[in-house]
Amino acid sequence: MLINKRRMQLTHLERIHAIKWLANYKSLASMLIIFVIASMTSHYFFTWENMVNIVRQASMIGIIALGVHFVVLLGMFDLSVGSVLVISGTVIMASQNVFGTDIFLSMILGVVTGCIVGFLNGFIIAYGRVPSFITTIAAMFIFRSLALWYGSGGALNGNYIRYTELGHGSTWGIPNLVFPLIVVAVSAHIILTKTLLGRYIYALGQNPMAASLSGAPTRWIVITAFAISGTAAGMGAVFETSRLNSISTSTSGIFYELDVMSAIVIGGSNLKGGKGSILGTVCGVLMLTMISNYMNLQNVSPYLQGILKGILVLVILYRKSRKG
Amino acid sequence: MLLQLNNLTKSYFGVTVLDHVNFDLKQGEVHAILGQNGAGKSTLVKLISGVEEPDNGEIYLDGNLVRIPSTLEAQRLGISTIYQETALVPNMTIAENIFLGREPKLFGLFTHYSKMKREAKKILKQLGYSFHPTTLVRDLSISEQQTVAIAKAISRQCRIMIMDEPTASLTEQECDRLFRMIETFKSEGVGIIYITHRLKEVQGICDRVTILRDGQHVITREAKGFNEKEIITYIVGKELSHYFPPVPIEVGEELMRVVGLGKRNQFTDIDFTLHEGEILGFAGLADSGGSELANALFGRVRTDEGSIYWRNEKVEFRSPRQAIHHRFGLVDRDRAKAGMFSDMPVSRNLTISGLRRLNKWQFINEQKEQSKALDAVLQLDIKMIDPEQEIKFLSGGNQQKVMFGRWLVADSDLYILNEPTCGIDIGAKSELYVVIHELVQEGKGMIVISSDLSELIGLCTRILVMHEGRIVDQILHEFATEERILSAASGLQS
Repeated sequence: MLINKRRMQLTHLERIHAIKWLANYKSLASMLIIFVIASMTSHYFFTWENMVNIVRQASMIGIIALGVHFVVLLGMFDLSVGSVLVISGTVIMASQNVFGTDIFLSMILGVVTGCIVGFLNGFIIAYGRVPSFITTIAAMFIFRSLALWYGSGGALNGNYIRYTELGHGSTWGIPNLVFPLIVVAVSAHIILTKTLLGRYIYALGQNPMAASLSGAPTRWIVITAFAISGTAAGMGAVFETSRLNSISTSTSGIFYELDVMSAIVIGGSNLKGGKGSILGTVCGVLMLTMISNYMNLQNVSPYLQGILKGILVLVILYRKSRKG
Repeated sequence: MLLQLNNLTKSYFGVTVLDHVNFDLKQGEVHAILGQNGAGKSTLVKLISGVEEPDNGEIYLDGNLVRIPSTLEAQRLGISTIYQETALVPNMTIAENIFLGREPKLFGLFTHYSKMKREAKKILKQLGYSFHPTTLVRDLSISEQQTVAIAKAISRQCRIMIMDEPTASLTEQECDRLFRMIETFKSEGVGIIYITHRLKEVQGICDRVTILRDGQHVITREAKGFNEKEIITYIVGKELSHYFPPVPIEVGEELMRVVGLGKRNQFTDIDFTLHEGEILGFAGLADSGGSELANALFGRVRTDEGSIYWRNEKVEFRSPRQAIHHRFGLVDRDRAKAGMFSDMPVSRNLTISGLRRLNKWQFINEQKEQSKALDAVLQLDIKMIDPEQEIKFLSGGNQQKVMFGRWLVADSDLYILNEPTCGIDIGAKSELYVVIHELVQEGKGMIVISSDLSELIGLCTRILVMHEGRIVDQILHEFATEERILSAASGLQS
């Protein structure tokens, strides 16, 4: 009797849950605030064309950030995503030219390349016990250099002209690239909240020693997270190449890793690992994009926009350090 | 009166944790504060040491009303706190730690290293230790680190010293040395607030005792003639009839056999068997190899030689994961570092090791998970408001119950318990003993490594005593005495 009563007590606590639920949506709230302010102060901001524009701009950093999110949850870094993007893009373009592969096969090859590079990163980090920061910086240099060498520092073009319809076209008024982005975001959310892997990733990010002692397959988790991050960067390469049907081995993907990290931090993830949601990261990406879009509309020099991004990241990390 | 606290009240989020508590401390006195986890001891310490400020009430120092808004102010007033986990910088030397923030300066600019070393050496000598002041703190044992923390307090000319469970991780000899130090401080007129779970120490070194229960002051009395049973009654609020459940004598079939297990520099020639329904204790002084053995059995470290048979089958674990698949469970001595996911809810902390049985195609069956977690909560009587509450908000005893519950959910057959009751109160302790008892009655095997001799004697079917990495004595429950264990553990053959 007593036990049953206690059981009932413990299962009927929706009110507390509701409060927690709201607290989890802080980044969504901040995004909405920015959105409202921008809409009120700029006439063009809240128009369908501009909304489509923002979403299209956000899709590139967005898709990569969704992958890197897994790595950040472990308390690690993936600084190689920009270079993974360029090497995957090179594979997409080169495979068409050299082997004459179909565009779909080329895209798959590009994504697989990203996955393999991520896997290698993860393998070295998990088994070689090299810090992720170092490993991925090394990968950043190596794969950028490989792409530059292959493309002699210039651009590589594809030969399937209708490829740009993917990057520029729309379906039902919505940019094509948004659909894969939504699919990836939803799957990432499901993986992190509903599966064993997701649970283990949070556990490992919070307390690696306890995770190992609780039976989490720690090395496998690290490798998988990096493989996911690499795969996402490979998909980023598809996004990038489909815009101009080409990849620039010297400029594509430069600084993407930093944009991605800022978006994730702004989205509320903890760089020490163990905390952060996909919704937060998506909001972080949208916030960054909206801000730079808004500044473009207000004729702020694009050269100055880095300042605001920097300040934003600082403010958020400062608030976190005060709290923690 | 050195320190006087009047009607201190403090609440967090509407929960009153200290309710009009009075307390006073004389010069040259050791005043013990006793109480269960959550009774308000730590909060009281926080108020005195300036970590938190009271909502209500006054603090008088030498009869003057003072406010202690920060730890810095507390230090200025001569109040030093020595915590369970010492707040030292592991990568700095002893001398640097002692003088951290107050380094003697050369020309007011550079650190005067030679002077710092000299001073540090002097203080350490005063405490009866002869470490080299340039040793790195991370190379010291826990008790040695504590000594450095005490040295730090002394160098600040402290007048009130708060010791929060100083003996929790010390061996008997180290305790004796600490008590001698305390005697010296007393004679110098330092007032000591002493927080402990070990009742025996109260008689030995304390002058007065204050007992708190549920945030309220229960009694303050002379320690002399205040016997353990009475103290327990005051702490718990009711008479504790069965401190230990009956020791299991009837044992079942052999569960585990260890033959010639060894790891260089840690333990050698370990042979023992464990049966179903048996509680096997490992006693030994610090660094006698018990913890290392526990880690080796659980696959946390590889062994150099010997073999482990589990249900007559040879097993070799390369990771804790494999051990868990064979239904082993380990409760580590350091639950903060090696056990808890402090930002995760209680329920997820409970189920993390049992997820293998709670998923379908890698997807977690949340309903089943919740129900398993709830079962464990109810079986262990874990006190919390909601299974989705983060574990960090629970008291130490309840956190430890969650660490046990993890293996309940994982349905383990062997429990390796390394200092399972370290730093938790008597109430929670005896509840855990009952849990252990229930589990062995179901035929589980228990290995208990503990430095608390009365716990081993009260709990274990058999006790193996380790000394310098070897098993030197095996004692059946009916022959177990503290004297026999101690003499074997210190290398004197009985």
